[in-house]
Amino acid sequence: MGTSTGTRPQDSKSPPPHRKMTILDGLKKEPVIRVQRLSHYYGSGDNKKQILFDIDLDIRPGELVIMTGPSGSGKSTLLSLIGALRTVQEGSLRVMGHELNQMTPSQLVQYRRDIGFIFQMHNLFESLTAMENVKMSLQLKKVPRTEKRDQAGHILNRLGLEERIHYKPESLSGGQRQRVAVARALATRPRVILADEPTAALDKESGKTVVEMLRELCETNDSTVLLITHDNRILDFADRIVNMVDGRIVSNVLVAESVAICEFLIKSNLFANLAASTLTDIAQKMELEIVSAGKWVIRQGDPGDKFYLIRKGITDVVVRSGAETKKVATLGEGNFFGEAALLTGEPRNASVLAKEETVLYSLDKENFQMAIDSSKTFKEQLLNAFYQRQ
Amino acid sequence: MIPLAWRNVVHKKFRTAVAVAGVSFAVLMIFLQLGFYGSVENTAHRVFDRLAFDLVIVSPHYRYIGQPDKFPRERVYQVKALPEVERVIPIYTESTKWKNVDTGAKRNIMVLGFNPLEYPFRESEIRENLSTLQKPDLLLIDNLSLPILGSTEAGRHTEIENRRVTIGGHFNWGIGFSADGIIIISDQNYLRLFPDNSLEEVSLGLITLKPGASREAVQQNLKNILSPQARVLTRQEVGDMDFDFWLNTTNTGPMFGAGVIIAFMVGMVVLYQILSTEILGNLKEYATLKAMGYENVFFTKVVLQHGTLIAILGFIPAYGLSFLLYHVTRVATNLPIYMTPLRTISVLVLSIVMCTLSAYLTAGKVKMADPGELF
Amino acid sequence: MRTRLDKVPIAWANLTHNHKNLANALAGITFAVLLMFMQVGFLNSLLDSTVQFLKILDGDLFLISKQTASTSDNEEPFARARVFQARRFPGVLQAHYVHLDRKFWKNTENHLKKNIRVVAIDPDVPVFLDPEINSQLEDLKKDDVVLVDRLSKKHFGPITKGVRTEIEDRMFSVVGNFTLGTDFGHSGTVIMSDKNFLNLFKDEDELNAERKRVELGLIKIDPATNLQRIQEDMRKEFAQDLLVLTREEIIAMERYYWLEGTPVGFVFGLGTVMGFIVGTIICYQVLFTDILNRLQQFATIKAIGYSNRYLVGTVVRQSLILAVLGFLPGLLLSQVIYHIISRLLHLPMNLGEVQVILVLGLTLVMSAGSGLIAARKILDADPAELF
Repeated sequence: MGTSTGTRPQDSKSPPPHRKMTILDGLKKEPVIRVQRLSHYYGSGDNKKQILFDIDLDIRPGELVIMTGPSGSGKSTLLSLIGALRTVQEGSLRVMGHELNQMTPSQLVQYRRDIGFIFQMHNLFESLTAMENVKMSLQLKKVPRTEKRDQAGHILNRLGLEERIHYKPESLSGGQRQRVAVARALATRPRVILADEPTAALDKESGKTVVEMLRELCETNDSTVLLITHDNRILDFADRIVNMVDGRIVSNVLVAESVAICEFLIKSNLFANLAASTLTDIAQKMELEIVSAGKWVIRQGDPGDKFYLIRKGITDVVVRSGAETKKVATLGEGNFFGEAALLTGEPRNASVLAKEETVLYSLDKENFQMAIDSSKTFKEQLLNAFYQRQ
Repeated sequence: MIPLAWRNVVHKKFRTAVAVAGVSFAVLMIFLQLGFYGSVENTAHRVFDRLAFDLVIVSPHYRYIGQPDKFPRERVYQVKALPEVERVIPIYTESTKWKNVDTGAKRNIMVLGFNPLEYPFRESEIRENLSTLQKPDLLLIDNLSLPILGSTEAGRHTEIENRRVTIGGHFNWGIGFSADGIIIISDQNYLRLFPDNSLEEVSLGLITLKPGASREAVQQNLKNILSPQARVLTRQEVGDMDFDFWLNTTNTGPMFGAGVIIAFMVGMVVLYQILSTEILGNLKEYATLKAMGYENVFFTKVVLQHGTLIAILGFIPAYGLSFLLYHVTRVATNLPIYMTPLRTISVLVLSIVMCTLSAYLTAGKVKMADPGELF
Repeated sequence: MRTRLDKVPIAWANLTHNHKNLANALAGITFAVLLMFMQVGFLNSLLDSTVQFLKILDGDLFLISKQTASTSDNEEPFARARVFQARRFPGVLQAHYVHLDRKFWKNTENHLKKNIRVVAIDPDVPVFLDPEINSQLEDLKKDDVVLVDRLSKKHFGPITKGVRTEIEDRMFSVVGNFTLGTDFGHSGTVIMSDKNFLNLFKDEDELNAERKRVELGLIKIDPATNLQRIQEDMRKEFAQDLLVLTREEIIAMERYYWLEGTPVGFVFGLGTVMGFIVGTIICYQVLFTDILNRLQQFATIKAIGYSNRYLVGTVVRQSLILAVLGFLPGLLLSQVIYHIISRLLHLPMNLGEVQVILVLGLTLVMSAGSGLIAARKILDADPAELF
């Protein structure tokens, strides 16, 4: 079994300013949003068109999720379903513990109050001032009058609108209106925030402020943010990036995890020379597995089916020869195993036991093979490493 | 709570003004037609409102005050004997032509004759002219006769039934559709003008009862005595008979009634259309309210408030303009068209009900929909 | 190159896209149009009904007393001798007289007496244009018989052939009917011979006086002669006590009397004026609001890059289509209501072509006007604002 040795310079992207959510943070928590086999259709009869196909998605509390993809891919529809702006037609949608398609109308009303929705079109009340627009959401939470004023004022100031709080939308610029819309959505510090292109009309400074506010809510309030955007500046802030095309999720990457896996892989000679994109691909294709303490991950003699990378935990490598069982190694975070059987086609030559609860990333045979084939150097190095271990 | 409906109405000034104008004019039409119809009702009671009586005797063939069909005077005096009866007064009426003193054109007028020694009127304005009435060929004329009667200056002369008469004084009645004008004369002058008539034949017998007497009982009693040669009616009943004449015998009453119905029909549809458009125009806002988590009750409140505001704002100019139009009509025709408190309140309530109902019905569809559908 | 056909469908498609809004707007216009037609209908029924009677009389020139303001409300008698004098004028083919009066008819069912118009003529002479009346003139020569207008109001009771009843305390038989209709001065009409008419006057003196008095003189002129000149000559001759009027003139006089000289006329006239004002304002309001609601569609057209002229054109076109679509049901509905009222009241209720065109014109002007004004708003606005 190999151990990860050596280092490799990281990619030259500036590190994200805040600590990202990793899989470990959310492990123990219930997903705040759980989408299962969700499909959605528009129109009826001959004109019926399917817009979402069997969507599965789990989002954990505190995540800032960015949804990308070409227009028409169903992002806005998914968002509106999560926000209970549309009724679930097929599948299950569970948000904050509520199964949406089983909620009564009055439950839906309460539910919507916990959601902050930032629309693409600002949708402000034309006849009310900026301050009053924000108060319209505060008064749903029965905030006392003076506090309403204070809270509304505070958030509008934070967004740079202190000069304009008594202006009506018609007297505000497009960017200012959008900021009021953001203020209205965030004033009540909702637990789930759904935003459709919130920074599209904003300048760099304001856009940054908005995202910072969202980030802050994620960290201090455990709020979850789902954000549709094409704004590259925001990608840095994402914990998770979900890419949708034609009504399906084509990739769902917990960014921190992806980075972590790549970092682990790079540290080893085996994968050191792979391009970043290949590493990311490998990382994406890896599946999360959790093994409880005292359970076997792989057993000597079983056919080889997966390649394993330890994300967190401690395992013992145990070999049985004859009647004797001997521990030959201990593997921890960042180590990998299981490549031998995949390369040779022979059964497993050792067993791996989880000493404590262990989080693993596994890559199945097919993808492992593809990764090898994608890089000759990689293949050579892998074989080298393999033979070195013999 | 932020008064969203009020703010919407005030903010979107132009839009609100257009809706209010529409409502206003629809309500104005209703007021106008009700006023016209009311003038027919008023006409029916007009003359009787000026006479003092508890019960009145009329011919069994009485049609309306303009065609009362005369009956023998002794029926009236017959009644005098009853203990509950304080007083009986015979009234003579006739229809004839008045000659405009300037143009000579002739118009239809009513003549009302009575014995000056027995004052039959409720108000005292005619009492001042009793001495004038007793002079031969002198008459009192209604100031509120149709302007087309010509000059009604005191002292002017004209011809009635080819007899020269002089205007001796005035009173203010206004009798509506019954005739183009009305004059009051003494019974002696009545004979002079209509020598073929007799004081034995009267048009009305006015009965005043002693205080404390039961009107119903006396009426029943008199009916027993006088039927079928004469009819005994209360004030309300005789007014109703005249009203019935206008409604069922002439074309005027029914046409005015049709006018009211049309105005209501049009009004209802137009109010619905205006309010519906207003609500639908705010669709996006209502969708946003829903998306934010406001309940349907709130949304209904906003919609109803909006409807009420538009209704009231539309009502006010309509009310004001109606007064103006009533005035113009009175000046031109001396028709008894007046605004009544009952009409004011009913039309106001009706406007509010129609507007809020229309708003509510339109909003109904919106309430059911997903906010997502509304965007 | 855009063809004319391209343009209409956009306007049409815009309109029909949202059915509910379309129905709302159409309803508003339909009823505004209905209001205008109903008010004008009331006025028409007043003015048309009062000249119905004149229209069935056969005369080129009419004689009436100078003091007659209206032959249906205010008939003054003049000397019958004048009619005979008229016969002597060169070019006059015939001159006949007509008595007009009101008498009481007894309803045979409830025995109530109701006022009815009495038209008395010489049955030897056909003075009517109505063939049905003329065919029954022979029957009128009998004693104590009448023809009754079948459109007399129901409160007269049975009025068909064979009915016997009292007119002014004298028994009469109905020998036939004709069709005329009520007006605002009369609720029924009977025609009888002058002989039977005079029998209604019991008093000797009264009878003689009445014989010498008539209310209407009908004069037929030789078509070859000059009507104007004869009228002029007669006027001079009868200047002291008569008016000599052509058919058009007497009809106009009658209509004028009712419109200008009676409260009813004023009321219907005011009703018509107000109906038009209110109707057009409502049309305007409906169309204007409809356009405002479709603002986004128009903004899109502008944002895509179509010219202002095209935009205004589309807006106006849309309004005009809406106006016409609302106008037609309004017109139809008014006809239905006219029919109902007419049948209930036995009163004519009709619409003149000029009036239809006038209302249509007003509606179209209102729609184009509101379209132009609304378009102005769109043109002035920033497309971004509209989104």
